[in-house]
Amino acid sequence: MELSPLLFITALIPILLVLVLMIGFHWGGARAGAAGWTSAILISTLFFGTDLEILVYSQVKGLLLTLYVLYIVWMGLILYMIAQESGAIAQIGRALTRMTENKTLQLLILGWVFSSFLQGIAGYGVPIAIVSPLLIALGFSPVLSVSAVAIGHAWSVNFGSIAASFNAMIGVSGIDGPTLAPWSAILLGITCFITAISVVFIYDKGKSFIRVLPAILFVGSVMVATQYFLAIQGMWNIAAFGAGSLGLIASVIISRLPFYRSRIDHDKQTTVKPTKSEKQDIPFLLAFSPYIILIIIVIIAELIPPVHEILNKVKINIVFPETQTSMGWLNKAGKGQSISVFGHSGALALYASGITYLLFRKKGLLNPKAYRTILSKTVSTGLKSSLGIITMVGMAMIMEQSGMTNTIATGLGSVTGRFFPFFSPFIGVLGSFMTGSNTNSNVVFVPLQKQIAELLNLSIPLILAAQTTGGSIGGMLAPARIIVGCSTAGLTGQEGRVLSTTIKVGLIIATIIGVLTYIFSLVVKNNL
Amino acid sequence: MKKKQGVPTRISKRQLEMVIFIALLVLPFAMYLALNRSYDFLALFFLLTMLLVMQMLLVMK
Repeated sequence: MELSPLLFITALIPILLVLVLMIGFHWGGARAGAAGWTSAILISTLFFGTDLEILVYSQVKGLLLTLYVLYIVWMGLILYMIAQESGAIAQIGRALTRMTENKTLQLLILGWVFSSFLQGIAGYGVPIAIVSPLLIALGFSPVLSVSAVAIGHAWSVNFGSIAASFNAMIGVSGIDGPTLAPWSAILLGITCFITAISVVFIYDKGKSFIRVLPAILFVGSVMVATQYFLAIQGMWNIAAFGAGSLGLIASVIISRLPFYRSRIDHDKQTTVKPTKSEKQDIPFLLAFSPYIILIIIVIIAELIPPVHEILNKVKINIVFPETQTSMGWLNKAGKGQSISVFGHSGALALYASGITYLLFRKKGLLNPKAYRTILSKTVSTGLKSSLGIITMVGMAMIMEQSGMTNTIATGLGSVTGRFFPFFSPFIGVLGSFMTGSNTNSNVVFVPLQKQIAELLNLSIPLILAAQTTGGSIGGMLAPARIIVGCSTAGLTGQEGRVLSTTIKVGLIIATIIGVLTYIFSLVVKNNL
Repeated sequence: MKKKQGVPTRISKRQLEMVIFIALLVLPFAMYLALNRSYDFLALFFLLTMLLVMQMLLVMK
């Protein structure tokens, strides 16, 4: 497939259109996605030689990916609605307020540490769907709450959810994990500190930065060192989980210091929003039990091999034939996104929801007809976000299957030349932006990044680390992911407001990682 | 003006969103099945229907 400047610009149109409509015109994800989808269909057919067969298969592949995502979104919503209806969310908010009155530290503990911990154990969308409402309950603005979580947990995506993205990189690149792990852990470790600092800056423009710096350094060092150690020891599957767990312990320790127990002057006076169940005094452990149950279920399902095997026996798989556009872009034959019916993160959230519901009913926290309210709220919240996800993923799949995404990446590679290492993370960001998934970004772009690194005699582990770090960062500005957060934060239709915050931060972080990758590439050469 | 009783003349936005949601879930599979059985025109028809559904979403505020 030949590359021309016109083709490169044409391929960019759907992305630019979505960005302009969401950020410039504040359109919701569903409408902007529909516009992007339509433009992608037209452009792929008119300029990229896509035929009916490719369009159809791209939409079915997109649908599988959508179902994979919506499974966790809807089940995560049900779990959250049960917790909210029972008054547990408000109780957690009150308890965390008591732990420290320092609002910035509260924001960091939930938006940076707790969300990273959740990313370590659960998959797509869980941190943003669960933590954003907690922050809102603590009195933070909805836009800040979604933005802070989207930014805060970005560093843990690569090794999170049982290192799905990292394992995808190993599989696609054909390079072993121990070779890829060190650079990935280093770049993501640096990202960890930058995300924390970014959270502080979007909250109060850095006014409390000096005050919380020791906490960031202490907790961040614990998490980064743990992730690095576990990753280089071959335990990358639990690297983010381990980092998040020790990070939570470190957070409890640091919040006990007298220095952090009081409110600081510019903190806004906020209160935890009362709920119908306000009058009930729920013990903290019981209030937190939905998430404890979820964590226990995830650990059992993921880390005990026989259980993992049984749960993942039933899978939905569709095999697609090889297709080729008239421009020569080849889509290899193979399976689409596989969906494990009983072992998927969504299924695990459903089990947790069932147990939580029964537990809360037994404890009298939910009335006999509470399930009606829970289901009604879940449908009204989840519906619009689901429409946004369907359209965005549909657009991404057309672009990928027609060779448009590859055109953008190849264009970036050829234009940038020896400065390619700087742009390498941006390609990862692009992949995540398009699909909302670091794993998919790696599947699509790792072969390309590896190819360019070989041509330019660059260190392949370093370039692939930049790719997956970019993919992790890209999650914070992926519309599909922002839509998930907005749906649980009551911001449906206002995704553009969140995106305008996260896109700035995401691009700044990607630029820093790009500069570092370029500097490292000057001293580290390809040794594979 | 007195409204007619019994027959709903409009569907709510949420109902419309639900219809669009179900259509976007069903249409790709319908296209896939039609294409696999070599009913290319039927697959094209479903694709155009999907395009139409997307336009409904686009004009919805």
